[in-house]
Amino acid sequence: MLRFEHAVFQYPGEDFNIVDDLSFHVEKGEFVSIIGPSGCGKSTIFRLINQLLQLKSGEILVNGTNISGQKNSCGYMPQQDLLFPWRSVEENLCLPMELRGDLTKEEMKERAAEALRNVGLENQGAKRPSELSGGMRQRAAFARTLLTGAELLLLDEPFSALDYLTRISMREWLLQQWQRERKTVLFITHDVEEAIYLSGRVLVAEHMPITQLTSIPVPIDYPRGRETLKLPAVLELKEQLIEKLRRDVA
Amino acid sequence: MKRINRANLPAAILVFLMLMLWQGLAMGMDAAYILPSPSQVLQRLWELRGPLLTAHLPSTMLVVGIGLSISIVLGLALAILMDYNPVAEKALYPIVIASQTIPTTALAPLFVLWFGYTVWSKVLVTVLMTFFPVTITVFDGFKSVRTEMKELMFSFGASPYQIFRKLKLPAVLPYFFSALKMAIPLSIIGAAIGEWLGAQSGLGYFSRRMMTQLDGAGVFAPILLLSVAAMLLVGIVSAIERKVVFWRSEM
Repeated sequence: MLRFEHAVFQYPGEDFNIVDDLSFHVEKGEFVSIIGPSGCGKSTIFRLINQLLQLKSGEILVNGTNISGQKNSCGYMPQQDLLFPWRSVEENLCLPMELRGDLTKEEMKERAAEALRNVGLENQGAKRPSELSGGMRQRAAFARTLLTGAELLLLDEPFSALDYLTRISMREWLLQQWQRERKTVLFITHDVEEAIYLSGRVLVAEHMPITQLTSIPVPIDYPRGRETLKLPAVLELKEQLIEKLRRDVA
Repeated sequence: MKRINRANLPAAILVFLMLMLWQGLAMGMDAAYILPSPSQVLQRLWELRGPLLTAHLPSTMLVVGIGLSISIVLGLALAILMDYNPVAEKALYPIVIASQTIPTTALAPLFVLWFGYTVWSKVLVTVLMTFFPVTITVFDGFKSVRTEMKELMFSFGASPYQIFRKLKLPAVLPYFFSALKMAIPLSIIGAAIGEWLGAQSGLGYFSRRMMTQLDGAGVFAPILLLSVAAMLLVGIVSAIERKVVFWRSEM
């Protein structure tokens, strides 16, 4: 689904490559998290995939085609919901479809209403984003990301601004969404527990610059619940990852 | 409504006290050609209501209307151009700033030489005073559009025009209304100055004519009318703003 081939990237004004000869891949339908210490370049990887940044050399393939110059190869969900305050919730959801311009107004409304139902925001479409709670806003933002129609979703710490309890229920909610939508998800977080709970595989950015992402499988099946986090295998993996990341920070 | 009244109460009391002080001073001096009392100004306004409201106010409002429209179009065009093209920004921004160091009032007689006593000499003064806040405020509005939102639009495959139309334009609306509320009083001042320096009608012209007749209250009456007009227009714009930019506090 997603493949980095010897990707090299350097920020202008810096004298080293922050991403250097990086290769990794994500299979179709996988839920993969990238974790690493802050400032290691996790977000740079996302910005390369959604083409806010351009590679110096190497290539990025989505579905086997080079993304360079292509539109809508991925659906991006940022840390903040970034719902436009002058649009209603439904109008916000219509935005990616409006930009593509291939649907009529009625079709867009229909799909937005359906997406709202799916994310548990039925009948909230006419409200203003400011009338929703933080968790509801993130669900609306997720629905908007789904409506880009992209098979590959990039979620950049989407729950980090939420309070702890909301975050826990949003994780469970996200897994349900992923299982229903059958999309490929690449998820950035610095929360080890969150990464383990959600993903089938964790990619660890161990070094800066990023030359490789160490792939660590999470040895538990879906569906998962809160009690999953108490399994010995999970606790061990969590310790192992924290140890790995701490070593790099020190 | 009650709460608004209560919030304005201190200001209302202060204005009332100042008016009383003025009235007292003016009555003490008893020289209406130098310092007319507020009651004399109101009385004169009432006496002159015919020519002021039917001839001079429409004449000034015509200048304000034309000048304000040109300023808004020009200001928006400059702001959009500077936002769209960095070279245009580098070229125009210093000129726009420098234009404000020109003493428009001192130049205005020159405009009378160019355009005579037509409406255009006044319009030019008005535009020179008004286009600046529109340009700078709207341009600042464009600059303050959140980068994350632009990036989100880009990741959705938006073209530069779509980013302008669906993100920048709505996001700049609060700034546009602020600009408008600054521009309205300025355009009225500009029109009055233009008329003061050379005109055959208008409230500024009328005020000057009264001065030559040593009619102190007659000087104040049209000025009072100008202030009321400015407050009314700003009030209307504020009301429209509340309807259109209901999301202002959420940006």
